Amino acid sequence: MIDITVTVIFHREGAYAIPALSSMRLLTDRARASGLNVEARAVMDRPDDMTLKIVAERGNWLDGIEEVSFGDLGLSRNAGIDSAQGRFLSFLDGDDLWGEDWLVNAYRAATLTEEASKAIWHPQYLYYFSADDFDRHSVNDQPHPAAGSFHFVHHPSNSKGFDRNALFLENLYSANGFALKKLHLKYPYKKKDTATGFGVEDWSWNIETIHAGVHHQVVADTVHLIRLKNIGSLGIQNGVEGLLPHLPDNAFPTFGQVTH
Amino acid sequence: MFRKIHIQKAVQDESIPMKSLKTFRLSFQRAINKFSGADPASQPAPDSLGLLNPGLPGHSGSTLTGVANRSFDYDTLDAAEKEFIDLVSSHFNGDLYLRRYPDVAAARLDPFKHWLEYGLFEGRPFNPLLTVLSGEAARMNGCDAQFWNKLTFLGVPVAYRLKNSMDNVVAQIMGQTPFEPTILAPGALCIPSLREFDAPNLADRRNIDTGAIFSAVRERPDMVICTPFLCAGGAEKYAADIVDVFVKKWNKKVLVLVTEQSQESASGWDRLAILDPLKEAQIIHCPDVFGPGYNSPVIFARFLNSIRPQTLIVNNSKLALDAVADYGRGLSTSMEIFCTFFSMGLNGLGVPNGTRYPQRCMPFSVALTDNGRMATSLAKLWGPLAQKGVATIPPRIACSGEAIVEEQISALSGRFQNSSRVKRWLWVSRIEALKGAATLARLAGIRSKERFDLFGPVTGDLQQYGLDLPNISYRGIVDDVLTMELSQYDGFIFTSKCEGMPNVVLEMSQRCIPMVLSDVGGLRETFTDESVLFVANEESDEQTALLFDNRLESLGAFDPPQVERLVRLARALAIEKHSPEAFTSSVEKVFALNHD
Repeated sequence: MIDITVTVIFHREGAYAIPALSSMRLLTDRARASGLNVEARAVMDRPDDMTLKIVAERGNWLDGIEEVSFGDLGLSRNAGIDSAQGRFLSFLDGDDLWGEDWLVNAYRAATLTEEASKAIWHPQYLYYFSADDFDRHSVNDQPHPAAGSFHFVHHPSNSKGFDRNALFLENLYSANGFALKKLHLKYPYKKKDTATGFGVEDWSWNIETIHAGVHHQVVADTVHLIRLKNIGSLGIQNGVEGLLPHLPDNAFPTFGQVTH
Repeated sequence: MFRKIHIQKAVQDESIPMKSLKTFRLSFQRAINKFSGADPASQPAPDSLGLLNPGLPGHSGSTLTGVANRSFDYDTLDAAEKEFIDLVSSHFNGDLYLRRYPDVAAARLDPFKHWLEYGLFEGRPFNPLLTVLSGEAARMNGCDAQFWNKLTFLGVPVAYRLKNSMDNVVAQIMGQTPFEPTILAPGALCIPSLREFDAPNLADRRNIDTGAIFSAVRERPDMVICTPFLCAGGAEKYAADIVDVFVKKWNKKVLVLVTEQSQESASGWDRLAILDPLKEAQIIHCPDVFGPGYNSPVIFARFLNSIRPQTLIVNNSKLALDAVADYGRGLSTSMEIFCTFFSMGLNGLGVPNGTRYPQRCMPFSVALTDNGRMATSLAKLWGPLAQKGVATIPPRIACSGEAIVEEQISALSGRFQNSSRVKRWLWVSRIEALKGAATLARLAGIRSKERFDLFGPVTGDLQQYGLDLPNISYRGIVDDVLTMELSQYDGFIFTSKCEGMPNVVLEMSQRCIPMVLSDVGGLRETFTDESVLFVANEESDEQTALLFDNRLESLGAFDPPQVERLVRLARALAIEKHSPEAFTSSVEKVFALNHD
């Protein structure tokens, strides 16, 4: 029985795939060293030659590499879900890095109770780092006033400070959570549809699952490291394409009061 | 634990806004009064911080030159202030503070005292585990009460919070640096101190108050209408009249989003009779409710997407037009969108929405206009984009009663029977270039023996338009056309260079005053050459003024029966096309798909 399938999604990451694969390997080795049975896979969606070459050279330790041609992150993840054999699934983006405790701590948190296993787990911290900060560098313990790097702190969806309404205006959870495969099968990612103006697969998924009553939880002392990019980021592209998140038919804000 | 804190407050401290400084001083005075039981002005200043507060960390006993000594009693602070002071003092290291801020060390200032007096207000951090914001930053940025402790400290808003220890997280971040040195770009030592955003508070980054937005909406609306202002304008009246049909005819729940005007700025709108229908709708002033970042098309679009009304009407709101232009593809899948475009203006001067937004919005929305000329222009110019169509709803007027008509016609007959009268002309509009102010000035110059009375708000001053002539009198702003005294006038002059369907002309038609009108906008769709005297706008104001002069001459020679026929026909034609019944019928046709 495989405990976790960790799947990294690549498309045209190029050089960024090198640190991503190294980070993923450390993450996987750490989980395996703690006794977990981990399957490590990559899904490559219309990759460019450079990314193909890097994954071939530096990803030969992976248990499986699947090439697809969707041009769509949500559908690529769905392909990863279909191929995964693990009880829990963890997705990674091919230009990020992950604190080495992520899989171990997430598995521990998600298997504490039956209820815990039904939740979607997120790292407590996201460390967004910007290469532009080389020009706004600090040599002491106080950042440059214009530093672009920052920390983002996830909060559980059932915590006191969580206002579900806020999810309509901003995506409050990152894409790369940790959850049962059967939960992913029940809530597959939606395809980006530029013709209708809807996309943002992770945001749509977060709204859909929360409005279906699935809790989003936080794994303490864990971090994902996310690269801030001036061009080529999915967020920027979504803005350019004028995409809004898919909303389930029954998902409306609570009016007239703050929801917690 | 210290018991008293001695504060030195600079008399002229430019780093603190004067209002805050005033509040700060008043608080000091109150604190001192309570501490000493005497008038603070008569009290000698405490002589040293060390005497009053021996427990302060890093105290050096130094004093500032040229500042007034002040102190307050720790015991007079409320529980929140005490908790704040205790927390700060327990996390404050004077030596570190002086090392971090050489200017404080060079001035030989007491570090903790400096922080309380200046550092707090200047936003000088002293411990990465304790974040303290003051003033506007405390009020607006990242200060959700769920995540921040908030208080008013000596009259100044303060927010603070302790960070959880990030040791394990930072260790994991550093563990990745062998793979990607870019992680270290901001500086290895400062990674724990980088800005931190709480996910539920994410909209704060854009200065958007999520809680306030959804709390303000009473219920999910059937129709949302976005309009920038609540004021006495033709577009605002048009919006109100459409709302009237939605509420009264269809019993729909309407939400009015006032996108560019606060409630305070709009005060008095409820005394404008033309906006009465809006009183039946819920009104939200976006600048008040959304927060300082209200002017964000993406947030506005997401908000509209979340509430998904059946109908969205965008009436001259730039914010909403941008939201439709950028996100209309998605929005239009769940709601029918209508964007009003009344005119393309004169050579695009002033950037009317009709020149800027149709090509961006028409793929996702019905272009709604009040006149056929604009509808034709939109269809001709952007036909392939007009997938949702172009619709015309002529504006609504209040029809005049027969008594008013007969009274005015009687006055006109008397006036036009007197061939030796000094002719007097009425001009009502905003006084500005596009309304033909220069044409009017030239016309008044040509007809220098006749009187011209001007009404309307002035953009600039009369002199700049050449309207400071002896035969021109400025009479102020018209409260209500329907109750104006018109018996002393020979006719109404309308010199505008570009229009949609001007309300003032329609209203004048109901007062049965002869009208000499520039041939603009949709006027010819309502009026004929037998009901008004049209004047073509020529290349120059001089040429146009000559044409007006010719028309006024003709009108002045009318006999009473001719005048009566003219005004009766104009009134009847306006009623035929713009009566409340005609308007409701048009609204029903345009919005029929939604409300059958």
